[in-house]
Amino acid sequence: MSDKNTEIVTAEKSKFSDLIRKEDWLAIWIGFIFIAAVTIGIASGAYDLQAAKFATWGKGEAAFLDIFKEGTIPNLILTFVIFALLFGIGAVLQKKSIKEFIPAFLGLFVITTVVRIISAQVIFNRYLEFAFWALLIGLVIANTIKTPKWLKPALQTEFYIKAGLVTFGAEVLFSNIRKFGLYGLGIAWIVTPIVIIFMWFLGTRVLKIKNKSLVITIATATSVCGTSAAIAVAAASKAKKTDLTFAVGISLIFTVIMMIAFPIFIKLTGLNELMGGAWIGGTIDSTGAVALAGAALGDLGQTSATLVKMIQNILIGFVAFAVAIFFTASEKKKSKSSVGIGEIWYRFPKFILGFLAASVFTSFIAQNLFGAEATSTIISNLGQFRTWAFALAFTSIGLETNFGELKEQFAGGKPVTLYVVGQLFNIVLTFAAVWILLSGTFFPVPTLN
Amino acid sequence: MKLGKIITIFCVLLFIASAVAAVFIMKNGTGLINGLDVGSGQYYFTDIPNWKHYFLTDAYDCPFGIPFLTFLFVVWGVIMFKLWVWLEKKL
Repeated sequence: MSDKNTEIVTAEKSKFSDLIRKEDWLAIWIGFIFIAAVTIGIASGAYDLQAAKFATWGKGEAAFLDIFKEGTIPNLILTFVIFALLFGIGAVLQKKSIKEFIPAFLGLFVITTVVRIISAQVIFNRYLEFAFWALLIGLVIANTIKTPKWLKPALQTEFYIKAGLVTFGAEVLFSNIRKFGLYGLGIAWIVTPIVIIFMWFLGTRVLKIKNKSLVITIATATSVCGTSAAIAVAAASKAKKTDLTFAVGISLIFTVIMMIAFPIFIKLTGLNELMGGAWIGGTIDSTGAVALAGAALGDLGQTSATLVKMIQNILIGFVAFAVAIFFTASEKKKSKSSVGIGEIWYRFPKFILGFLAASVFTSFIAQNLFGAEATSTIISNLGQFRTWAFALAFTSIGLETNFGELKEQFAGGKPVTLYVVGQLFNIVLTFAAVWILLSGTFFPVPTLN
Repeated sequence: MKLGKIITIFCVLLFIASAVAAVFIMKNGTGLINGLDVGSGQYYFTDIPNWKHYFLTDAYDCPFGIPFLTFLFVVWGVIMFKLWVWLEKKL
């Protein structure tokens, strides 16, 4: 299970040619190309580069066929051409056959398009979105009719994830740290690492889960922000594809429940909107669920919840960076020799640096050069490219996974116990932080507009 | 039966019940708010349709600048990382 093909990241000795040969670096260049192409278009006003996006359909929304209107098909073709070109060049540079890659990628892109159309259905879109459907459809194909051999050259999960993460870095705005001042920082940042450390030792020492990448992926999904954080940390910790599948699956299921139950519980306890919203923001995994659960409390609840979550979203890159260093050092320690900087560097998943660089670019350079409005448009457009990259990755994971592997992952229910106990700890600790900071007992109650 | 085993069984049952309840919730569209185009399927804050509202406006008048908050952010992050590494050695 730990061979090269099952890991999100693999490390080898560094060479100068790695810059154009290794997946990590190529992912950085692809991410930077996305960012540069979108930014130049928006900043110059010359063009507006967007990836294909399907409007929500069904049940009171647009009719199914309406999603193909307004230039969707040409945009879909453009999206295919851009991805096929960039990842095709990547395949050539990695000395893979382009003749095998292009038809395989076309097949994968068609399946991923079906995934995205299905996940645009109003109910599916609100509750689960692309990750769940990509995994499910991929799994169904792989475990029934079997994934055809000709499709396999395009199943480059790690490559899509890394390129998607570098692009995603541009959406991680560190400048959001000011959005709720010390209150937001206290709730989002003091609690999060404590929960991660608690869950790490719960998983590795108490529950004795041997798969440490799974433990850290679940811990980060629980304490930071669900799917997005799980993707970043799974890549940083060299997790197996099934680790990521499991962490995302468990997070999605409990998020649906918490999104409904939390506002009801908060109303029953009589907690005020400001505190209730902040509590929701610090505990519920998915940001959309946070916004919805906060809105169920009221406008103030929604604002408070969203601000705390926005700050927590900043943590993805830093947590992934810390996890990459921790795991790189741990790997070296296993070989019982001293850990040198050079050793850490060549084992370090380099794409994390691309992720952080992209975040610095939009947080501090783009906002100052082009203004907040233009930066928000850049981020919105990049979000579509990131979603396609992740959707391709999750579809690939599904197509490469058999149900037997997922069953093994269940490990007697220990990962579920880790999530449940960790989430309970997260809920209690976040409430303590919310009460200390926002109840007015120790600090003045902040005013939110 | 050991306490750990009981907790694991409880958590697994909770997971199964949650999965069944999630299907029921989705089937009935429970918890969704009319006019609010968002749900648990929007993983990141830029996936929320009105995210620009929160990004472009300041709901809270923060008295501190980014450098000070960044300093606190880094200090706490480093302390926690060192703690993690230290506990990993000791436990």
